[in-house]
Amino acid sequence: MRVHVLLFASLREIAGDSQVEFELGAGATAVAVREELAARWPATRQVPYIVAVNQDYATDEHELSDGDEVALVPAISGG
Amino acid sequence: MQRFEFSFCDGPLDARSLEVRARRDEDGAVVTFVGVTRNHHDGRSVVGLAYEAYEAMAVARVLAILAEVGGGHDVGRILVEHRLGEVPIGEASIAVVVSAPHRGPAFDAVREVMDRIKREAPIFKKEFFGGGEDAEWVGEVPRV
Repeated sequence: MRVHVLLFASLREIAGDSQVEFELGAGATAVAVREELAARWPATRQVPYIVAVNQDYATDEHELSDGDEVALVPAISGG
Repeated sequence: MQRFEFSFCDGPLDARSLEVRARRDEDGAVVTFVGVTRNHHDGRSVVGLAYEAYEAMAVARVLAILAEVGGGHDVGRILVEHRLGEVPIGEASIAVVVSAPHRGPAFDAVREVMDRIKREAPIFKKEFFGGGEDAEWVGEVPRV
């Protein structure tokens, strides 16, 4: 399956892009996105972040579906 | 107009226009919080700031916060605007305006809205330091 990954702040800077597509195996969880990100851009291992799936914060155990939008949200500081 | 509104802007914020729009004839209070950029952070000199956001989720999340806070207090309208991009020192990055029949709930709602936006909204801030130090993205990772 294919998921649409959004990158922000330091993650976006490391990757040099604000969005990428990841091809994952069936039944993949958000952990698979973390692993793929780290494999492509090892420096992202230094950045703590949480995932948001289709605009809701989710745990790493969240099971993904084809076409999901997976945003990687590092430290926030609005206001 | 809607009772709860949130939007991003990429130029100077006008809190005054939000206040005018928030006030209803039944209100005796309009409370405004304006967050402004400051020139220091943890003892370091800050020369500039920039914000970016996961805009679609931030809008949905903040509107949900406004509805929840508004539902918990006797308030009228809650209007919030957040600036994105570079914000020069001393200029407003956010304005929260709450109207209410009485001041107590308005003050409470403003504080709750601000605290929750800081904790929950996917908005990112980069600080640029003086003295040639590397810029840094600051804040905390939200909890599920």
